[in-house]
Amino acid sequence: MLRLTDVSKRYGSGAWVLDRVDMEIPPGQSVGILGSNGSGKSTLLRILAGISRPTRGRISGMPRLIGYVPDRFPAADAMNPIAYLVHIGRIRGLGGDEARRRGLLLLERLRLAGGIRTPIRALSKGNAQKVALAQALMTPPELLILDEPWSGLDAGAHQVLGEIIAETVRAGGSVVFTDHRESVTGAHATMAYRVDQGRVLRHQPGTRAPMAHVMLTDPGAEFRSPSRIDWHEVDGVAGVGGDGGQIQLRVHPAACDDLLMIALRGGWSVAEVRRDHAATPARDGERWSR
Amino acid sequence: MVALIRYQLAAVVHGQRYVAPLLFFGIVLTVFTVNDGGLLTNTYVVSASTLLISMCWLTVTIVNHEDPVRRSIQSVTAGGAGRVLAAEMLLALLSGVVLLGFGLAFPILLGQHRWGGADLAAGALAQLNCAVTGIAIGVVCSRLVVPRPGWSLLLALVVVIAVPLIPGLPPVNPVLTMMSGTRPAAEMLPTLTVHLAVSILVAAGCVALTRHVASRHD
Repeated sequence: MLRLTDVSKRYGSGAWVLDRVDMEIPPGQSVGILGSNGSGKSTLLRILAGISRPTRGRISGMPRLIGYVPDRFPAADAMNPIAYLVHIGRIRGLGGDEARRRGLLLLERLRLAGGIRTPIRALSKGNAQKVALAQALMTPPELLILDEPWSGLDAGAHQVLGEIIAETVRAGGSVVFTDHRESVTGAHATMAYRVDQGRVLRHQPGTRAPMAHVMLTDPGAEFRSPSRIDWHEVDGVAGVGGDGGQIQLRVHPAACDDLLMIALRGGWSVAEVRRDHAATPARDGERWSR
Repeated sequence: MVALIRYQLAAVVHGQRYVAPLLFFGIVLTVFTVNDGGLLTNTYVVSASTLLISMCWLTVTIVNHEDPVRRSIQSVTAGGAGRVLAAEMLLALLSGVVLLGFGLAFPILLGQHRWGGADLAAGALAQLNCAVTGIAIGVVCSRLVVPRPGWSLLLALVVVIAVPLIPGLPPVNPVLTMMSGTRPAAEMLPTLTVHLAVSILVAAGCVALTRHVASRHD
């Protein structure tokens, strides 16, 4: 089992990006990592992938076959997606024909638009991200590491990505992914950690961290109507309820003020703000966040 | 490792930045060897010093061709950043050997020289020495060690000019000085071999240094 023991990381003599992290990634689990932008999620993933070495601490049980999908896929090359995937397959030990067959299958499944013979640099961000995802799956990984995998992907690919995560876990592999939205993490993770200012804490299933609850209303006919906001995309939002005229949001307390700012700027009226005082147990049958 | 080198080669060829150092090598070699007479070992001084500059340039091109994020994907795929760097060094060495072939043949084909096996061996050793030293300079001037392109270029220029010009500094200057003289090629072979060994040690040190610095940046 992949295990980080007392791992800390900093670059040069800068501030500690990760601070005394203890973490376990058991096989057959999908691990969600929550945290706001710049909290150290990507650095944590780079350490799990073996790209970065921790400044202090120990890593044990690193699997051999790792698939790594970074949060962006810089593409300045003229190589086309299928040629790239064939190369990756060969490096992973597949034969040329087998690599081509598997590459084509993955690109078809992810519905790559723009053609398999278009240079990668000419693809849109979402399509380049699909190539990034495909390269990590050229051989079924024992550990699949995904950095903000949903950003930039279209709705069809969202569903395929969910299936891929489930398949990897069913095959006994582990998946680690980051996302800043609790609603997304809750839907795909079987366990979760939260990164906050370099500290990584286990998000216990069955209990909930204290949350803030915000109720927003349409201010009425004499004001301009409030703008439509995709609340799921707002930092820290864990749950969205209500209808067009009234919206109930469950939000991480640290992100509550920013959310109110966004709501007020968007022309919404704040009807109620309430905070949980202590961790409350989740209701039966409910996952740790939804 | 073969698959990794093959990928690097394809990616570098797609990037087209390799053209400049190869063009430089071809042009200088042609200008200085066409209709050239005299001792073949003297002419090989031109081949060797041009190869030093070209290989430094080409090595920087090979190491820098991939964006750092894409490089981390390669390192996960290949099973370690060390393997990616090793593949790049082997690719640089292979291209160095190909250029060395041209550097050996051009003076013979385009000039008028009397030549024998010892001349060829001396030329090959001197050029291999310069190619390996060029790779060593290139790798420590790459993005892995010097992240800013301006400093990288400046450092590479200074080192690649200083190394052959500082009198007595092994492994390149003594070789070029000796080859410029009139000693028979056969007598030079042992000294050339010793200097080649030195250049290999220097290159190994430079690659290890690069690996160390790069892992601290990661």
